[in-house]
Amino acid sequence: MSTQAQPNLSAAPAAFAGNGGPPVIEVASLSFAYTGGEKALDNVNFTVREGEFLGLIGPNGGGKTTLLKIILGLLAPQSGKVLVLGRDPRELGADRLLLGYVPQDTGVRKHFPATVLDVVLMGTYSSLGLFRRPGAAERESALKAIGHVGLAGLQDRSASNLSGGQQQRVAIARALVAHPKLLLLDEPTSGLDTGGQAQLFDLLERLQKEFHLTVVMVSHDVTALAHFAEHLACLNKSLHWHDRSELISEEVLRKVYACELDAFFIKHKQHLEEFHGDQGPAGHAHGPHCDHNH
Amino acid sequence: MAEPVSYWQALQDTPLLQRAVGAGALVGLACACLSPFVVLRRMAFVGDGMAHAAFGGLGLGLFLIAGSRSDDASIQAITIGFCLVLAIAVGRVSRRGGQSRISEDSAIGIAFSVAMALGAMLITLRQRGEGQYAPSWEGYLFGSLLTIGAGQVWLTLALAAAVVVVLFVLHKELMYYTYDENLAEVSGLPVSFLHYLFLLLLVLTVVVAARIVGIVLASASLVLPGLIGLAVCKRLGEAVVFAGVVGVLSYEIGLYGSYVWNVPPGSVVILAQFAAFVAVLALRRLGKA
Repeated sequence: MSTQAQPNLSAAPAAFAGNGGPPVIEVASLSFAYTGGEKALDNVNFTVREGEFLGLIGPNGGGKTTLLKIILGLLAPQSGKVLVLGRDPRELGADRLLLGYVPQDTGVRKHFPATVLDVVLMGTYSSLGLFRRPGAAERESALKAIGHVGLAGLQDRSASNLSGGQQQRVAIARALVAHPKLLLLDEPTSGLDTGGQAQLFDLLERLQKEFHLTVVMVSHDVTALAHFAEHLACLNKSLHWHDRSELISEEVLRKVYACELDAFFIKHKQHLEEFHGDQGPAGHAHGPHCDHNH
Repeated sequence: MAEPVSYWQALQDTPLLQRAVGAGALVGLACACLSPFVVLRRMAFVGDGMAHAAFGGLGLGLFLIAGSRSDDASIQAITIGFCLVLAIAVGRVSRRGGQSRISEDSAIGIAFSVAMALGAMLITLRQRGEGQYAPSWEGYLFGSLLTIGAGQVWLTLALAAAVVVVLFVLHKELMYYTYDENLAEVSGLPVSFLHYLFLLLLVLTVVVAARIVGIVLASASLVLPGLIGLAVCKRLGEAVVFAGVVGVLSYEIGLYGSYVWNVPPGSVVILAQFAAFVAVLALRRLGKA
């Protein structure tokens, strides 16, 4: 797919100042390509400010996970600038703890031999430093985090025996225990049913307020995200962004996504909001998935 | 065929057998303690590749140093060095993940085939050129009690101590790294260091284990005890300890069987571990029914 064929609709970051808080993520002119491959990201620009909830949507292979990895400092950008909490994400040092990361589900983690408490305690490991083991204080904060995500009493259960939704909550508790400022979630709703997705979003909204978190969530399920995120950005190598106050034109989304149905749902939802206030269309939480091969 | 009782008699009388029993327990322990990590990180093929690479290192050593024997310290050093170079090359490919043009399994497949080819060629050339002493190929491939020199026992002791100390001291870091490498890196753990440290332990263990159970079978003892431990235990630390016990027992059974039936020790070790694995699976199935 040629990136040249797509219109550059990226708005200046300043257009999305949101609540006007200090910037947590600043990305300018970012491009990235894997060795021997075509560009995964092309001239991406955006800013996320403190306390915002950004939903990052786009087709599989559109560069969502690559962008997350660059923000996390796992990959180095080839051109452009990325600042997280005002610094290069690869040079955050001890402040890495301020980034909470909930990665995509993998088989290894699903079947890992550990209790819920063991997994949540992993969030304390790097602050303990080498050689030191978690003690009573770490145990206490892990138990608190388990309570915050609604799993109180399950700390001694084998994490692999939990449901998909509960395992995601454990992953969020593991991120929370390090007291992050920024929470990055990669497809946290994949594999969850509609009820599980709604519960997860409710939990994230509550945690965002309670802990003043900035949240960036990546998903290819646009309808689920459209319910909760304050801002939505569409990523398909280049980034196209808008906030809830704007109506996205169907044509723009079709170009970005090559996916008419998702465009319909966003439009539909925002029309509903205009008429009914802040309630999302309940029947569309499990919307059609985008396929960039359309 | 010797009577079983004569094994105990031989154990008292023969320093070679005593060394084998000591080295076997230590190697069994080292392999088994690493094996839950190998299983969870899906590195069984890495272990296999490194065991085969050992054959290339051995061939190189025997070829370079005229008149040398496979259990000379210099040959062992060359073998370990050769495997380490290959392990670092493979480790670089696997650390780069999806960014590399060559996938990890292709890289290992190439490395170990080339190493085996090199070993076979160099050993044959050396044997033909000077007619020097060369132990049987069967011993390299399936293990032998006769390759365990006095120095070997100290080497295995140092190795087992290194494995146990590293696993104990860096338990939480290795656990997090095994759970999710990206997560561990994001949280600030020295993941590259852990990656290469684990690879180093794996290489040393495989090279030393290959002396006893043979190149072909060494990698299986890096997998089966881990599978057994993970099937029985709910937590990683418990699985490591359980696997360690299985490893020591199976190596001792292997040495006993090797002596009594006059077969390669590797074959009995692996069959004993496999029998234990099948038994554990059957018991679990019964427990669930």
